[in-house]
Formats: sequence, C-alpha cells, structure tokens
Amino acid sequence: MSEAKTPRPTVAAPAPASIAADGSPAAVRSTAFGGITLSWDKLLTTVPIYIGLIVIWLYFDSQTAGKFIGARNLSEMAQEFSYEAVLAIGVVFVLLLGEIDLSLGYLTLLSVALTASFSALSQYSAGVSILLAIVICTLCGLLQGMLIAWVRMPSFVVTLGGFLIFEGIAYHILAGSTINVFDPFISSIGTYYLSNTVSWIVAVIVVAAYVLAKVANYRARAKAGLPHAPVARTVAAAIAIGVVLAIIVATLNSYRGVPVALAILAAFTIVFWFFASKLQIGRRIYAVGGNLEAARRAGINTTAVRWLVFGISGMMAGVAGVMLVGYSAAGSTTTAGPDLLLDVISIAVIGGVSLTGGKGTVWAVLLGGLVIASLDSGLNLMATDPYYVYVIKGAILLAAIGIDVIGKRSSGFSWLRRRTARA
Amino acid sequence: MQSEAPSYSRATAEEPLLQVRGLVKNFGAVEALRGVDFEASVGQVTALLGDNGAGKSTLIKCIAGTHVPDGGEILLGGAPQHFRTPIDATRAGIETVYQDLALCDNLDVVANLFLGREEGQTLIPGVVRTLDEEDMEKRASEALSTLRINIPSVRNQVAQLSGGQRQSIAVAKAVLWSPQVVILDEPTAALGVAQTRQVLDLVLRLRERGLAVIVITHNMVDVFEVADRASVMRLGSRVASFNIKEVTPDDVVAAITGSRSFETVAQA
Amino acid sequence: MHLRKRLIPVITLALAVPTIAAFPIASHVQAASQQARIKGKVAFLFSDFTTSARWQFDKQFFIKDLKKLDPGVQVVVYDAKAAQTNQQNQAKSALTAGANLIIDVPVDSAQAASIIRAAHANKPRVPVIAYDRLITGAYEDAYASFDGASVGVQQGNFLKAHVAKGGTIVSIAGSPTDNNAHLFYNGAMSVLKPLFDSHYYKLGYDKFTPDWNDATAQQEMASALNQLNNKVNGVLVANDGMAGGVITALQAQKLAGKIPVTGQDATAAGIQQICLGNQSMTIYKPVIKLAQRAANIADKFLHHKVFKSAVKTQTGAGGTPSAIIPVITVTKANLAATVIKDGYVAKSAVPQCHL
Ligand SMILES: Nc1ncnc2c1ncn2[C@@H]1O[C@H](COP(=O)(O)OP(=O)(O)OP(=O)(O)O)[C@@H](O)[C@H]1O
Ligand SMILES: [Mg+2]
Repeated sequence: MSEAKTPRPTVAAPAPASIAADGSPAAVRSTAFGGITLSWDKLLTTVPIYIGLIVIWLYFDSQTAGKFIGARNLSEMAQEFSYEAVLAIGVVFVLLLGEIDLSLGYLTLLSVALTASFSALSQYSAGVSILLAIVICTLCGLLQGMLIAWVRMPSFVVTLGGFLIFEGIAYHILAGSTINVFDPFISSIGTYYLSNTVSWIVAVIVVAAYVLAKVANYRARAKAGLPHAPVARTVAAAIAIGVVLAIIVATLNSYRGVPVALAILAAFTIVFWFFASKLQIGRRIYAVGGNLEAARRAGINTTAVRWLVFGISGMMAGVAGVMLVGYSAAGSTTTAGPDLLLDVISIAVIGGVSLTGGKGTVWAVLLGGLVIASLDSGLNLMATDPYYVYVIKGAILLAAIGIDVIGKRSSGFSWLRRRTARA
Repeated sequence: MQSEAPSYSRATAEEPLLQVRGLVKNFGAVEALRGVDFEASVGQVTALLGDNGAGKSTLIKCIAGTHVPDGGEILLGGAPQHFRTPIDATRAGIETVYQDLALCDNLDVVANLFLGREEGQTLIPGVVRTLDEEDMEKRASEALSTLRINIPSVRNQVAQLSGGQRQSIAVAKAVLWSPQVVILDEPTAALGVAQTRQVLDLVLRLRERGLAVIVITHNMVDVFEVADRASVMRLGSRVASFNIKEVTPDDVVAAITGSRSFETVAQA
Repeated sequence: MHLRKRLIPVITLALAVPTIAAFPIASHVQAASQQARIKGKVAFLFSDFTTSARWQFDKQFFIKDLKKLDPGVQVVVYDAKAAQTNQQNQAKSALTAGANLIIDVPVDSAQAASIIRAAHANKPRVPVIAYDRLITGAYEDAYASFDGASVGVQQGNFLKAHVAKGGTIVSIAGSPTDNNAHLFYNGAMSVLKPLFDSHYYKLGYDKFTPDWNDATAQQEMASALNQLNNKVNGVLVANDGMAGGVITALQAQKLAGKIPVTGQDATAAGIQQICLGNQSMTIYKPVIKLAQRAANIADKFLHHKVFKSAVKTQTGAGGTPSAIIPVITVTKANLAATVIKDGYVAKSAVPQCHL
C-alpha cells in the first residue's frame, strides 16, 4: 500500500453525454406536467367517490322533495361542516406522515372551552380570545409532537394520553355546564355570510390567480426548455374552475351568500395546499411520510418535520374549536368530542389520503368534507334514526379505506388496467 | 453542473482517492471491523467482496458516515475525515446508494433526485421561497440523459418504475451532486438479467466519468464484468486485494471462503 | 365522553314509574336529628364530577345537611370518573376503611349491584342508599331521586299550554343510546301523542341526537326548519344544552323568541336564554331538596334505624323504599323564587336576568 501522501487527485466534474450525437434514446420525455399525471389508479380510487356523492345527492334530493339540493340546505351544510373540514386539514398532514392524532376531538373541545370561557367568562375581546385559544391548542399539538418526534414515543400512545388530558382540562374549564357566547364577532364566524359582491370579487380573484400562476408556469418552463401541457387543457381547466366557482357562488348567493365559515375553509385549504405542494417544507413532509429512513439519510431534519406537523394539527383543532363556538354561539362538553375524530379521519380518507402515509393532498378535505356533510345533512333532513347514521358512516369509512388499500396493492386494479389497455 | 469534461488521464491515479486505514468498529461484543484497510481510486471500480457478515456493509457505513468508527482513519485525497452523520460524508463528496435505495415511492423522480436538497426560488423576498420545479426538472432530465437512464417521465412516481429503473434513479440521485466517490451496496441483487445489464452499464459510465466507484456484490460475474480491483473481507478484516485482470474467479472465491490465504495485499 | 350516559341501564327509572306516588311521603326521619351525637363514616360514591356540574351541588348540600344533623360524622367523597370498575374498587376501600353507610350514584345501574352485595356481606352489614340513579338487581336499603318520569310530562304539558291548535311541533330528543333520553321522550309523548293522533298538533320533525351534542341539535333544527319551510310552532328539546343549539338555529331564521322552546337542567346557560326570551322553560331538579332528604335518610341509618316509605321502587330484587323529589318547571316568572333562591344558579352568572 502506498504510504506517500500525495496531493489529492482532482476529480473532474462529469460532462453531459452527447444526447443526440450517439442517437441513443437518452432524452427523457416529460409527458406529464407539474406533477399531474392521470393514472388509472388515481381515477379508479376517486371515481367511485364522485359516483357515490352523486348517488347520495340524488337519493336525498328525491327523499326530501328537492330540499336537499336547495340553496338553503347547501348553504347550511357549508356552515355546519366547514369546521370539520378545517380540522381535517390537520389530519391530512398527520396521516401524510403515517401517524395518527387521537387527541383531536378533545383538543377541539379544549379550544371550544377556551374560546367560550375567555370570551364569556373572562370577558376578553373576541380577537384575544380566539388568538389565545388557537395559540394554546397549537402549543398542545407541539407538546405532543415533541414527545413523538424527540422522545420517539408512538403517536398512538402520545395522542391517547393527550386525548385524556385535553378531555380533563376541557371538562374542568367547562365544569359540566354550557357557556353561552354572545360576542357578535365570534358568532359572525359561524353564522354570517359574505356579501354577494364580495363573493363574486373573491371568485374572480381566484380564477385570475389561477390563470396568472399558469402563465408564469408556462413562462418558466419555456425558459427552462421544458415541454408544457397543451394550452387548451389549461384553458379548459381555468374555465372549469370558473364555472364551478360561479355555480357555487350563484347558488349560495341565491340564499344568503357564501357563509363566512366556508370562506375560512377555502382560505385555509388554499394556504395549506400551497404550503404542502409549493414549499420545501411541504415536500419534506411528503418525503418523511413516504420513506422516513430515506428522508433522514437525505439530510432532512425528520424530527423537526414531525414536530411541526403535530403543531399544525393542534393549530387546526384550535381553529376548528373557534369556528364551532362561532357556529353554536356556546361551548359545552357536548359541543365536540371523540366522535369528531372519526368524522375527520373519514373526511381525509374519503378524500384520498392514505392511512399509511405519503399519499394525498389537502384538497381531500373538500371532497371528503362534502361527502360527510352531505350524509349528515341529508340524514338530518330526513330525520333518520341516528342508529342508521352510525352504521352508514362506518360503512362509508370502511369503503374508503378499502378503496385506498386495494388501489395501493400494485396488482389492485391491474385486471381493469389490462382490460382497458386492450380495448 | 457537470459542465467540465472528465479527465480520463487521471483515471489511473498513483494515489488512491479514498484510503481507509486500520478501521475498527465494534457492536458491543461483536467486532465487525478489526483494523480494515481499504482504498478506491478515481476512474476505477473497486469491488468489495466477502461472505455474509464479513463486515462489508459496516465498512461502507463508516465511510458513508452512518456509523462512526471506533478506531482507524478515513482519508479522502489524503486528508483525514471525521464523519459524524451521512451529511458530513455527502459534503465531502461521498455518495452512497444503499441496498434499499432510500427512495420515496410516493414522490416523483425529480423530487427524489433533489430529496433534502430542493432548489428554491424567491416568491416574496425574505418571506416565501417556493420550490423551483422548472430548474429541478431541467437538471433532473439532464442528469438522467447524461447517464442514459431511460424512463417515461421524470414526473412519474418512483413507485411506478421497474426495479432497474429505481436502481438507476438511486444512482442518478447520488451522481447528481458531482461526488468523488460513489458507493453501491448490492446494486444488482434484486434485478433480472436485462435490468442487471442496465445497472452495470451505468456503473461503467460512472467510471468513465472519473469517479471512484465502490460496488458491494456477491455476484462473481458482475465483478469480472465491471470491476478493476477487488477487496475481499472475511470476519472483519481484509484478507485480499486483487487487480481483477490478474486473477481468476476461482482465486476470488477462494479468498472469500478462506480456502486459500493470500500473503500479499498489494495495491497496483 | 358519554360513557356514563350510555352505560345507564335500561331499567333505571322506567321501573320506578309505575310504583312511585305523585308526592313524597312526609319524612319519617324528622326526629332523628335530635338524637345523641354519634360518630361514623359515610362514603359518598359519585359517578363522575366532570360531565355534569350538578354533582358539586349534591356534594356540598349533602355534607352541609348531614353535618347539621350529625356533626361527628365524616363524609368521604369518591369520584369514579365514569368507570363502574373504579367505583367497585372505591366501595371496597370504603368498606375496608370502616364506612358505616354507602351512598352511591352508580355509573352502571346493573353492575353497581355488586357494591350492595359487598356492603351487605360486610361485618357489620353496611346499608346502601342509591342516589339519583337506581341500582338494579340487588336490594338497596333506600333510593332517593327526582321524579324523572315527570320531566318529559312537564315539558309536554308546557307545549300543550303554549302552542295553539294546528301547530307544528319539532322534537329534538337526547342521545338514542341513553335510556334517560327515551324516558324523557316517552314522558313528553304521553301528553303529546294523543294530540298528534287527533291531528290537534302535527309532529313535523322527530329525532334523537347522538351524544346529546348541542352542535348536532343545532344542525337538526336547521334541517327541520328547512324541511318545514320555517312553519314551526313549538320545539320539544330534551335539555338546555341542546336548546342552546336549537335557539341558534332559530336565530338564523329570525324565529328565536317567537316559538316555545323547552329545556331541562336549569343550567346557567339555559336560564340566560330564558331571560333573553329565547327559551321558554327549563326543568329544575331541586338538588338542595334531594340532598336534604338523603341526609335525613343517612342520619336514620347511622342511628341504626331503617328508612321506611310507602313509595316503593322496583329494583328487580324487591321494592325499595324511596324518596322521590318532584321536579319543577321554571320560567321567567318563577326562576328567582326557585333556581336563584336555592343558590343553584348564582345571580352573577345570569346578568341577562337583571335580578
Ligand atoms: N447495528 C449492528 N449491531 C450489532 N451488530 C451488527 C450491526 N451491524 C452489523 N453487525 C454485525 O457485524 C457483522 C458484520 O455485518 P455486516 O452487515 O457488515 O456484514 P456484510 O458483510 O455486509 O454481510 P451481508 O453480505 O450479509 O450484507 C455481523 O456479524 C453483524 O451481525
Ligand atoms: Mg451487507
């Protein structure tokens, strides 16, 4: 073995191989665009949900003499269930990590208790009450996250502990009684509507933002010499978004307008979608959920990522609790509870978020939320015996998880794929 | 990146780029490495051989910063290195392709190539930096075509790729950062004939580009196809080091099984 | 969270209905207080303090009243935290510690029978008083509770008195898994059903509410109003918590205060809504009276006497002598003289009432 210490050899940076010169099929064709690929698996896992939703809507509408697909019911539906979808945003992130947060139902109740008691008992202003409740819930989430990420305790165990602790604190604050909240600002969150003009302006802004973002994206891809999706497809998408928004706004405006709660949900969804898909930290959450070890080896601070996600989860519970107080103008031990947890997990799973981590988007809360909201609202409208509600919700959750599991098995839908490929 | 031409002239450098001297690693009572010497030179493929439990993975994990050795030293270009984490080794120019590939199946090829090293662009100065998808996609496509890795789209999820493609992506991920040393742990173990071919070609291309390539393998055919040198480990020590052109597969197997002892452990 | 409510077995008060008289029998234990000072230990086993605010009142009133009768007697309070097994263990500890009397608010009426068996097998035999909820399957020495069956009846009667002929009534009942919810509902329907059958009223919407959840009650009320095109003339709501939700739904349709809304529990929130004119009535269970009766009965047992009553409640193991306290319909008119006067709701908790 050579003992001499010679200067370290220089290693030249590798050069790009001549792609065209040797005529090899080296050029990587990028047919997909911006991460959107239309795969059979994706279609097969979402189409049943859409069909299910349409069936549910038509059934309820026929059973309620057209009341179900009425502006008033849809508006009330949005108002009643936006908080669940907001809570589900936190669940989406937790599930993306492949973790679980069992404490959410009672953390939401804690937020309810804090908001109500700060506002009605301590007589703090609405802003202070809301902020304090959300901050405290975020801290609770971070605390759980600390035990999970740093101490490496299983999330199942930690959040089960949180479940009991938050229950205890919330019950202590509420002392078994109902606290009426008369603050008009807090009530406005759950019971007010945007004015018709504001709704239209917001809708136009959203479509304009979409178009602008797409234009910027085309420019950037052109600059980088990358292929881009056909312009026609993007134009079609923009028009589709515009039409859907117009229908929603027009319908809701024909009753009382877009509920503030729905606007809050929309804002949170957009912000967190951006966070998850456009920022480095979002990408890293997916990485940690997809392959923890790979993420660790890639130098990602997996501890911090996991910690942050439980903070988000706690924060969304805080927000949901505030919205719930806004909606019911009161806080009591029966305003929220563990049943909420099942609902929000259903929402996420129905929306396509996988329980095993790494798969799903924040948009899930809109689709899943719509399904759960439709069910609850329709069954309420029909005054269905609650026993059936439990059974139906359980069945739907199982169906959604089943679709997820079958879809993930590589052979899951292969027979169908083959068949369609032949056709 | 990767704009300079490789200097093949130095491929047979006098001094090995990576030198490991007397490396010791114990796991409790298990002496996984008992003073191992090892070296890898630029523009060469060095095969690391040995039976199960010989200590190969432990050795490369020390080199890759996953394990901190209990004794001995690791020199890169003559300079001693003290890796505490995989990131330290990565920064020094050592990239490792683990046996399990360490890919995120749920992410697309671009995201995997840039895992942990995502490129950003300023959206709101000082406040929001978004991912620079275009630049990453462009660089990913370039890197893959440089290595002549053929996949339908860099926006495909890794889960949708074949075993050989996944292995190639894992290699590309390592090479993307212009390392000096690339370590591959059993890169062909799970692959069929055609895909093994793909990956071996890829290994040869890394050599062409003047990298020091270390390949752990149990496959003698692979060794004689791509390796320039081979180091054989047994029970935590290096028992032989060959210039592949000077030996037969039987010699190598004999060294691995210990049926023949090799006096000289000579460097070229 | 409603474990406690879910676990209440089927028989609790249903068995009590046919056997209890309308009014409690005058106390047999009046004279007991004049007797000599005695020492002793009373174990008061509560189901759980967290889900309902009222148990704190029961505890305070009972201890105060018993101390008046027997200053030398010590009351040890236990909280089973909504788990019957906890209570079982607490009963055993109490017996080991030498309790002379057990007062039990069972978590689970049927399972609590084992507490009675253990107490009676103890040497010396320790008597057991079932408090607020019946213990079934064993013979408790006394049973002190409210006239739960008449809660629904009073709610029904209130609507009957305040909704004009031809009116449409909405019913928002309690948790379908809680036997009490059915009991209240059946009580109200004993008054209203004949009126529905004769088309005097119309039952427009009829639903039980999982977990007594007030947000769910609010959603149900919104659905009911939608379904009935806001043509609602009275709302039968099982308790104050849900009444709060119902009122918020009515407010959204500018109907709050224009329609009779019932309640139960005389919570501060309920009283607030009554003073604001949104809720019409609530049912007040005068805990102060129940605690007083229980203290009198306890005093009797502590003096090794037996509590006798013409009112018997079927436990499944014989008729237990019972003290049944009537419940009171509270409206704006009488709340000062009842809930407030008893100190059940503090004046300061209901500034809306301008008392
Ligand atoms: N983390 C660990 N803890 C304890 N012992 C270990 C650990 N890692 C490796 N060893 C032990 O060290 C020895 C060398 O293991 P190593 O994984 O390096 O062998 P290898 O040559 O890579 O074998 P293979 O060909 O099977 O992969 C073995 O005896 C093994 O059991
Ligand atoms: Mg190994």
